[in-house]
Amino acid sequence: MSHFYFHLVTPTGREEDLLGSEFDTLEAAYLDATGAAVAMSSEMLGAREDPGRLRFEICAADQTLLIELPFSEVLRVPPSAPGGLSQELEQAVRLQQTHQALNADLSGGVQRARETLQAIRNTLGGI
Amino acid sequence: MEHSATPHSYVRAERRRTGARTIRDRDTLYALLDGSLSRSGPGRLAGAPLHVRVLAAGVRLHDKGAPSASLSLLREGLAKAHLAVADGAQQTVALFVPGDALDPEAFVLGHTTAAITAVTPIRIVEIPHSRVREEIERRPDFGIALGRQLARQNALLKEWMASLGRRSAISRTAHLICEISARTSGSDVEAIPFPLTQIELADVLGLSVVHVNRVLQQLRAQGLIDLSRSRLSILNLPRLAQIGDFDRGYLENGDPFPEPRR
Repeated sequence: MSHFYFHLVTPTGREEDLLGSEFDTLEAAYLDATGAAVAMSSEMLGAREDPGRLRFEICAADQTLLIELPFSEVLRVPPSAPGGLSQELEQAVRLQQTHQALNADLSGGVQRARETLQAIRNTLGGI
Repeated sequence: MEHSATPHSYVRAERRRTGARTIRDRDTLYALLDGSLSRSGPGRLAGAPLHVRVLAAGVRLHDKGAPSASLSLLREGLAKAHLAVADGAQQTVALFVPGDALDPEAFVLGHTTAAITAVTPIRIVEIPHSRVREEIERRPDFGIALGRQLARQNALLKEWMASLGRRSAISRTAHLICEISARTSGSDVEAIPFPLTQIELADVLGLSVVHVNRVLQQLRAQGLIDLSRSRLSILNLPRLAQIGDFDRGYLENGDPFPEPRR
């Protein structure tokens, strides 16, 4: 377990984390901070306050800044929200459309080859 | 006399003899178990000595749904009941302090309804269900005490449900601190052992660890608590209770058998 500090930067100042928290990895710390940002934002929005200008500064035990987590990042409406598609899904849809177009081209080519072959047979049969 | 007495008459007689206004479940169970009631009451638990177990912190006493043939009473330490949810997260659904029965529902159902794990090193006394049944038949107040344990745990669950469903992060944290303090200490200002880590608090409060961290620091910055080296001091109980919407009435035993008015 490593010790991380989560200083909260607000429009009015910086609230130092004097306690810190233990996590196995920075990724775990970041994910937990994301959950905290979502929950804190929810409470702030309920109180008609704007959480969009807050951010966590996640620091190591020696106070080295490791990563910043702007609340605006976790509040951003993901493309997968109603009316939109996630990037992964859009890519998958585009790939599927390409495959369908290629299949159509291939089928058309096969059909044309068959017709050509039939024409050749007809021509040869007439000799 | 002991066998024929109704719960009401037994409790009234006991109360008159000992001068106690109420017989508290914890006191009664403790007294029954450590034999102190034998000096003033009708007798200690019959039969062989009770089994005492010591478990290290983190050791699981029961899995959820495990069959149980004995009632476990916590004598020392802190334990928790917890449930795993689908994504692997844990929700702590009860905290047990000395004097609490860890698995009273198992006496009725035959199995536990949540996993139970030691938070700190714990010492428990195990009473076989067969002996619990005998004791209830022999001493009606034992059954009343067991019923009170269940009623109190039910009251705690209701408050926790209100916290998880409706109270803000700071309110539910303040409420929990008030509750733990009330359950473990008679004093409002005394520093009490508070062995719960931020991770364990997060599992109780349904919050992320970082959120718990922020809330604890808010309470500290407001001069309401001091939490250091696993000891908690409440510096301003009225204000903390106000923030936590805490009224200790749900922790107190009522008097189910009041003396009839003359």
